[in-house]
Formats: sequence, C-alpha cells, structure tokens
Amino acid sequence: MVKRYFVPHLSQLNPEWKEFTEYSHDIEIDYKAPYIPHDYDLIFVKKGYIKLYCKTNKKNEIFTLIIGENSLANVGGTITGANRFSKIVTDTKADLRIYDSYFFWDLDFIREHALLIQGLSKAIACCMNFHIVRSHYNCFYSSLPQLCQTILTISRENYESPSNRVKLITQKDLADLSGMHPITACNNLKKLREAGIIGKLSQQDIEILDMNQFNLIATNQITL
Amino acid sequence: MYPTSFAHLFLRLTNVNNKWDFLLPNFKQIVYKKNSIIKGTEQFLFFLEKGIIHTSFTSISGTEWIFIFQQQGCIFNELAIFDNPMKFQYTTNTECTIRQIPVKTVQSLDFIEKYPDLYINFIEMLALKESISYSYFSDLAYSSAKSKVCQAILALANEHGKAVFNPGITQSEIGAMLGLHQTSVARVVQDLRKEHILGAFTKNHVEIFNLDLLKQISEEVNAPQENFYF
Repeated sequence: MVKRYFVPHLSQLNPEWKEFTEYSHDIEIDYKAPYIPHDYDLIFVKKGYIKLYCKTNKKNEIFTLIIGENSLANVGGTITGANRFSKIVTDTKADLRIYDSYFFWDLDFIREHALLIQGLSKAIACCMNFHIVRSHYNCFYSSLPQLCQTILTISRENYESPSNRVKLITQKDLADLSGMHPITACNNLKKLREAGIIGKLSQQDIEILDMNQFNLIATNQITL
Repeated sequence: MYPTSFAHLFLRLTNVNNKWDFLLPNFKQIVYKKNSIIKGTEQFLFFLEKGIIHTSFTSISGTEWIFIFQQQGCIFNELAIFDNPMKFQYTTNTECTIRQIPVKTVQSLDFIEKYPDLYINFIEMLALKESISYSYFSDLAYSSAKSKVCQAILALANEHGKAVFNPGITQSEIGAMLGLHQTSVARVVQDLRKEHILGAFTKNHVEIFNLDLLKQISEEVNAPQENFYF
C-alpha cells in the first residue's frame, strides 16, 4: 500500500524571484476572501499555496492549477496580456507578492536581471507541460486514465515537508482538474475502489493499494 | 504578434519569431525533404526558415495527435528543452529549411544580456503556445464533436480573415488535432452543409455561409445527461 499526499502542481520553481521586491506589493489572502487578479498582475507565491480558477470561453470558471511556494503564477497570461484567472483562493493562508509586470518590456531591465527573466521561461514551459498532457488525455483517453493521471500529477509519496502539502482536495476538484463532470469522477473512483486498486481517499491524501495497476491504467495500458 | 486577448485555438503559426532572422547565418542549416521526421532533442531549438511542419505526439496505442502547424519564421522544439514528459516529433509537410540553434546559446545569461529583445520574443512565443495549449483543454475538453469542428473552422476563418479561403489542411489532419476520427469530422461537415452553414470543405477550398451560427454551435457546452442519479 502506498499513501500519496496531495501537493501543488508547481513549487520551488522560481526561488530567484524571492529577493526581488521592486515594482511590487505584498498581500496576504485567506480562505474567506479570494483575490481577483488584474491583467498584467504577475503573482509570486511567498508562502502557502494558491488554487487558480480560470476563465474559459465555454464555462465560466474551471479549477486549473495549484501553485506552491516560491513559484510564479500567471506568467503566460501576463505576457500575452490576457489574464485568464477569474479568482485565486487558498484553503488556509497565503502570502503573495504582486508585480506590476510592465517592466518586462524594458530592455534595460532584462539586461540587468537576466536570471529572473530566464525563470519566466521556465514557469511558462512548466504550465504548458501540464496543459499539453491534460489536453492530450482529454482528446484521446477515456475518463478513467484521465483521472488516474491527475491523481499522479498532484500527489507524492512520503512528501517530506507537511507544510508544502495541499490541505483540501475534494472529488469535485479532482474532476475539475481532469476536465470531467464530478459524477464521472465519482463513478470512476468507485470503480477503482471496487477493483481493489485504491483505498481510502481523504482531502489530503489517497491510499493506492496496487501502484503497478494504477500506473498501467493511468497510461491507458489496461482498463477496468 | 497574434491577437491573444483571450485563449484561442490557432491551427497554424507564421512569422512569430522573424526578429531572429539576422542571427540565422551563424547557425547550421539543414534541408529536409517532404514527409521527413525530425525528432525532438534537448540540445537544439529549431528555426523554420522555409516550409511547413507539424508538431505531433504518438501515443502508446499508436494514435497521432497533431498539436500545431508552423510555417516559416517560427521556432520549434521549445518544449524538449524544458523536460517535457511528452516526446514530440516534427513532420515536414513540404520541403523545409531549418536552422539548428544550440540551446546552450539561447538559455545563457550572456545571450539574454546581449539580445534582450530576442529573448522577449522567445518568451512571447512560449506564452502564445501556452495559451494555445490552454485553449485545447479548457475549450475543447468540454465540447461535443460538432462544436470541436466548428471551433477549428472558426480558427481557420480567423486566421484568413474571410469566409472563403484556402485552408491548406485536410479533414483528417483536423481530426488528428482534435482527437476525432476522420469519419466523425466528415459527418459533422456533412451536417453543417445540410444546415447551410458551410459550403465546400476540401483541402484547398472552404466556404462559410453562416458565421454567426457557426460561432453559436462552437460555444455550446457538452453537458452530461440530465436526470443522472447515483
């Protein structure tokens, strides 16, 4: 049996931004009040983690990413000038730094801060990786492998520091992150449980009884 | 740059990175014949000087997913240098001239300090592709086959800016981009034709009769069946 804890999609990706405090202001958000970002807001998570809800052309909002400590959020949206986030929420408390990203088009700034700018490219590419894997699963695989892939992406075994764990993941969150209806997610979890592949699912962790089978399902090599 | 006020599905990119033109003579040039396969590598970025390529991924079961088409003036293979778990390959649709740009050069701090405008352009290109990948899962994931095809036709119409144009893309290629079988695409096209929304749809000729209705269908949400119970 393997117990996997839920963790953010990205964390510790941009530590080089930690010391950079120009053109920015700090805010603190908690579970009661979501933060509504503006266009050109570049967001750095100093402490805690945030859940990003995005706008789409189809549905009003979908839960898209979880960003953990020392990572940038909304980089792609900032640069194309298209803020896709409808809101940012956290389950407990999070410290954020909001940059006014107009400095990005200042060539002198880029010359002086090459390392920071390099970090931006990493942050975009990582988000793109998640989007691409998810799109591919949505286009070509059925809901069961999609769900298993989502669980693998946002969970880790023996995660060392409990402070970096995500405190609250519901079945609806899992459904949103996999791009399916909550009822579909619920049915698939039931199927996995009945087949003896997963055990208890709580808000913070999931017990996987047969990791081997689980991996095979996630890569669509076997089906239930 | 392309209009990216909101996430959009683009089927083809052209001249996104033409600012890089003056640097190209420094890099090795390779000419590929039509239908050659270029494997993604961690050491190089590729610059497409001439021709058309498509980026695709083949899954374990053997189905091919086309992510995007690119024409002259575009950089590709950008994801292979950032540990992408999916190994993309690039297929040439015509004869292509390509320059190999070593990743070490682009991702060095010296390069960023020397050519900040090119690096901005590189990041803008990444952001553009991120918004495309985002629209794939956000808009397409919640769409029926009909709505998917309508979105693709709209993307093509936006790209050409008119209702009658030469798409240069086949129905089976559109299917491979949207995760649909060629037959499903053909069926949707037939339906649209019956409803007088679409006229001809071939590789070289597309006619749209009713753009508003096409938009309306593309925005339909694929809701699960009602009165579903546990």
